[in-house]
Amino acid sequence: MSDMVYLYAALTVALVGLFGYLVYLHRRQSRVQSEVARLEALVNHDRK
Amino acid sequence: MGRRESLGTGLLVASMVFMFLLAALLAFYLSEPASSFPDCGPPPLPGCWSAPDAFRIFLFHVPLAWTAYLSFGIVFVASVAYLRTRDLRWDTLAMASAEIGVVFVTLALLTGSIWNRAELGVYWRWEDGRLFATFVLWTVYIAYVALHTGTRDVQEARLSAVFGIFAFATVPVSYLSQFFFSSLHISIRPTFPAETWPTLAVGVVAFTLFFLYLLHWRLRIDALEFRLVGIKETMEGSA
Repeated sequence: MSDMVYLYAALTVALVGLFGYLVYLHRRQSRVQSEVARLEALVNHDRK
Repeated sequence: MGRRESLGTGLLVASMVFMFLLAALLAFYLSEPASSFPDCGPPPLPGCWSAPDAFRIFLFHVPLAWTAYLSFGIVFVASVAYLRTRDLRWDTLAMASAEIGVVFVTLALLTGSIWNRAELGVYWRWEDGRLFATFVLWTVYIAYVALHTGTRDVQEARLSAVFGIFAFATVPVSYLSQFFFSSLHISIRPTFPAETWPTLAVGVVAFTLFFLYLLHWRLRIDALEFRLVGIKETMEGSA
């Protein structure tokens, strides 16, 4: 069982890496969405 | 719910189903003794594993590498399509696929290094042809992603497409290097336990579906960013 630590280490690296990329995509989408909403509100306000 | 949202949800659900199946199979392997992975002394004896438990890294290392190759194949196809059509959507697809591919190949390199450490006692061997070729692939696509950021114009997109086509040469070189150069990469060893193949197939399907979900999501973010640029141009035009 001594080499099981390598298996768990590799599994952790893979899961953390994939989860980290999901967090990155989520944050990027949230940032762009809020910027689009802010500018659209500004444009609509100017039209009125 | 629109068609795009339905596609994204469908891909997410399908990839999660296969991921859970892979997790269940991995858990089953963890509960089993490693008798089917014979430990017969120090490496590199063909058919023997000096770290039979760590052999299970193979079950997600290979799907990670396969998905990276798939993503770089999409970069190649999209780059060719861009040069033929000059449609910037192909350029966007190439960039999105390359970014996800870099994530997957990075994880494949890291998990492979850990497996290498368990099997051979070292994390990395520069003299190993397979490792070196994959490292070159990794740096080439890092450069592709780094050069492919920010606002795009036609000239930049054309250069990126040419880069994307030439960069793809590193993919077959990385795969075939194990046959041409000195390599202790695991795949040259002739025997894999037969019962691991179904689990490997589930892993490949799971990671492919997950990649398609990430690609779909990444393209939706790109569409939002294009919309943002459009709004800004409209505001500047009316100012």
